[in-house]
Amino acid sequence: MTDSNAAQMIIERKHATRTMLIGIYSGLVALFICLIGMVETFGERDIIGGIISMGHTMLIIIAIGSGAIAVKTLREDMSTPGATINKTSFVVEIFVGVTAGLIVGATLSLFVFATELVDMRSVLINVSPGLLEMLTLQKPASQVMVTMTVLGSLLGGIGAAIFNIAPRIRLPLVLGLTSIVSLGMLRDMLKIVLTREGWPSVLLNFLVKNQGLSIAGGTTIFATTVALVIIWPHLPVIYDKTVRIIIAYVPKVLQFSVGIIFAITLTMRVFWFIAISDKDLPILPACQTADNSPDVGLDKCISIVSNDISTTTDLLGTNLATLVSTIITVSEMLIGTFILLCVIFAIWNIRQRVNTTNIKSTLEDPNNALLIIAKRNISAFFGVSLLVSLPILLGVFPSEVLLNVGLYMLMGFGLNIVVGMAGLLDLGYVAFFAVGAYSTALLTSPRASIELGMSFWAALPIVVLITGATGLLVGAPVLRMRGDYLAIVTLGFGEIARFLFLSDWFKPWLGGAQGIILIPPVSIGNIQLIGPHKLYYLIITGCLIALFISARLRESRVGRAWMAMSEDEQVAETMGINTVYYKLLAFGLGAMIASLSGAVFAAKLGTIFPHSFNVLVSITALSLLIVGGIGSLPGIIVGALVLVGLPELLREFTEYRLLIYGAVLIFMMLSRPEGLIPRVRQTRKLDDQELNQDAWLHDETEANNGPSVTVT
Amino acid sequence: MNKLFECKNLSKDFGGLTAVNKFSFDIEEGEIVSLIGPNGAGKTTFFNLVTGLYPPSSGMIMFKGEDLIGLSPYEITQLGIARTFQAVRLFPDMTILENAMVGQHCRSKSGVLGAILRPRSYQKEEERIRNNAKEQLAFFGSRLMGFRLDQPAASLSYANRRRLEIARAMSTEAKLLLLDEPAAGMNPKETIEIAHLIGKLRDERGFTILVIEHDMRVVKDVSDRVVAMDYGGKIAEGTYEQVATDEHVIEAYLGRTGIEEQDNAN
Ligand SMILES: Nc1ncnc2c1ncn2[C@@H]1O[C@H](COP(=O)(O)OP(=O)(O)OP(=O)(O)O)[C@@H](O)[C@H]1O
Ligand SMILES: [Mg+2]
Repeated sequence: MTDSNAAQMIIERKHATRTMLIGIYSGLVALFICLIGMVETFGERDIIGGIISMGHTMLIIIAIGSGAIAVKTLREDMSTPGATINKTSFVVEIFVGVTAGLIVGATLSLFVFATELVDMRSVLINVSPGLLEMLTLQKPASQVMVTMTVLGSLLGGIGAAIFNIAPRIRLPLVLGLTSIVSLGMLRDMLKIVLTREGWPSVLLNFLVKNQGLSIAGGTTIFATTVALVIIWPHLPVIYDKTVRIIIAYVPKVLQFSVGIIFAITLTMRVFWFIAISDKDLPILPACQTADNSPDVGLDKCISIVSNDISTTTDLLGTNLATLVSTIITVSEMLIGTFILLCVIFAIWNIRQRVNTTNIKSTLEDPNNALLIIAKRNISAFFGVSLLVSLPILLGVFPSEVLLNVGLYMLMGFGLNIVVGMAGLLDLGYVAFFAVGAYSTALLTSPRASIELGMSFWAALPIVVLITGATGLLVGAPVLRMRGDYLAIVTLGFGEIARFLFLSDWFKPWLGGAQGIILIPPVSIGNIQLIGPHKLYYLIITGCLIALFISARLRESRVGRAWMAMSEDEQVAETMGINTVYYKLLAFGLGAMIASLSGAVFAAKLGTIFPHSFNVLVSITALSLLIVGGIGSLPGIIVGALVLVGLPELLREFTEYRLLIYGAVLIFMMLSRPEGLIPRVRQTRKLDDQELNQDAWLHDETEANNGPSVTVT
Repeated sequence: MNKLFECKNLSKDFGGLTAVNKFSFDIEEGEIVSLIGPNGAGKTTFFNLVTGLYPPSSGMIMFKGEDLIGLSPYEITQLGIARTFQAVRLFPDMTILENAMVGQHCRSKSGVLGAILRPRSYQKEEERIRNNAKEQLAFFGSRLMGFRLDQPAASLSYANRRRLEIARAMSTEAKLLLLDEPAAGMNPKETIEIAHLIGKLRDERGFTILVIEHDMRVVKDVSDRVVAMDYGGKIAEGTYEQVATDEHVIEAYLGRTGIEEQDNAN
């Protein structure tokens, strides 16, 4: 045997060990989620009705994942400089995948076998007959052991194979499967939405079958996703063409009037929804807390609701109401047709390139200012209309989820000022949320100690000021602290705030553990915003304002000062930035935005307790920043949807919420430390760093003739 | 007395170590003064005292007739002293333009409301800050201009980082620039260029400059006056020729080197 062969053996052994380790880890993860009861809980939810449950899907994903990770690691090992073997073959990769999957399967089958021998239930309560039934599909353990192992190897092999498919096919395939799993998981939500009036019932019957999706539904979803993925890259082109055609052919007057009609229609729809429509009788939030406070009985809640409805229907006569709804429907149909025509025309235009000769210059000029403005306006228009129509389309329960997402998103924007922009790690952010909620309660509730009973809107400015002042109060003592110390101290502050609200000391004012009850709902004129589908509009307005403020602050003198301070405090100070002032400013502004969220929270629940304001709120707010990408504004939106929205949609999650949080955070730190949607600047830095150094050396020889390399 | 900068009996103790020891000297407006001395002589510590990063143990510092002791670093910058750091300290994730714009912070006012509502006055100020920053960057030719304006500072080569740091200090519209080893880590060609630029900074931009430098060619080229430091105290002062031939200075450099050689031998 030659030397190089010997080296090859060692490296292969290294790879074999690595592969086995990956298999063992994956197997342990699979075992772990079985033992903590996750698989069984999730097993109750079918993805495809009667065929495959979510619990099974989780195990399958782990087995496939082990194969994929094993191959990925193998490739990475081989691409490191100095590796003796730097090329794998398909067969080797499949073999590696199968090995990893086999170990996963074997681990589980050994577990099943072990349960036959000893009764684990006395120690591990989650090893229930239900779980075993799921794993063995009601067959005796001895029979399934081989099947499970073979199945595991098969899945591992599939994982390895996925790595070998061309990305062109892999992407639609993976996304299609993912969308089946996600929609299957969201089956309850799908049912709730699709049973609402306005959605055709055929759709529901077609997609959903008792426990999960129907086979036809699953196939359709898969096909739709694949089609979408394929069309996706062409969408910007179609959009671009559509806008160009509108600019070139549609007279200004028509453009304008369609816009106006669109806006009016939308406004009327929303108004109709908030004020008149009584189809969505909300589960009044105040009623949920009825058990805790003897004063608010269920009958009272119902009377509030019916009051609400009678006053609002009185507002407009029935005839008028019918008229309004007709107008809305007709104008929506008109606009729909118009847009559809434009899109069809655009697609047709792309196909018939010959025609472009006689089209005005607007259709060709890439940097047409009008075009850019028009595109921006149209995007904003559709964005706003989508946001505004969500509760109308989805109904009460999904709106509740959106409302919670909104509450956290608003907090996220506030916390982003403190953490993302000013670089101050604050783990006690819940304190400001709580102060916002409590001061709203104190000022508006007629039952509160000071008996002011102000309206929400009158109280809001005072709430914001009070909370802002609290921000300064908390900020002042921690001015000299940095990083970890700051985090620990603010964590303490958050808890102190909760204890203060709980304390006997403040009980006469803040009600101790009983909290403050009978916080009136927010009202605009005669309309009371009761129920999440109406409060949604309030929180979305808050979020948009916070987004606007954040975006503008970031690109300003203040934002630069914060950023400089977060990168190097001492240098910032030496360059003329009063860091004390800017730290306090960040704490104050962050607190103010949190108070908005707190105020809506108080108005939403009608009753607040100290226990709502625990450290988990701070952690969730911070986690959504990390997951989204610290300092990235779109990241906050995505982070809130993922970390707050998803768990609310999947009620099984609640028990395992923190476990999944932890797993997600670790995963993010390992594979995407910059977050899901990183700040653009950061990615650019990584990509262009080398390029730039080279460009500079290049210039040196060329004697200052300006940059020879252009970077876009 | 019309001194721009003046310090008397300035001392700084770190525990038992006296890093700056009864140091007194002054700078006249429009001068270029070099501060030299062997490693650990206390030069950087002296800069830190002047810019307010450390409070002095005793002594006084006056700038434009104002007492600097007790002022925060940002107030000192506001008064007109700006510095660079021995180990370049930029804001690595901020763009080159933004780095230079930060320098203008103390010469502008707009606050939170301005940033959110963006009235005309805000836009004008922002425009002014931007133009000023570009003007400073243009001082170094095309190296920091063009597409580089929007690149993060971390993407720059080492020499360019030093240049950007000087540009950032220039943006503060300071009267007195403190440059801590501006030529460190540069190749001979770049070193000559830096020496040339330091002269230009005074002649064209009207800065008064105090520069710490180890490279004696630079010191010789640029300085009107040289101050030598050892063990925190001043050991010599005068023209380059006077200081270079001063026996205390020679002893300080040679003596220290001698000890080092001994250390190495052990
Ligand atoms: N923050 C500090 N705490 C304790 N000792 C310090 C501190 N800063 C500097 N010193 C000490 O003070 C002395 C002077 O250091 P200083 O950095 O001023 O030297 P220098 O003249 O700038 O040297 P160099 O040419 O190497 O930059 C050194 O002995 C150093 O160890
Ligand atoms: Mg030094």
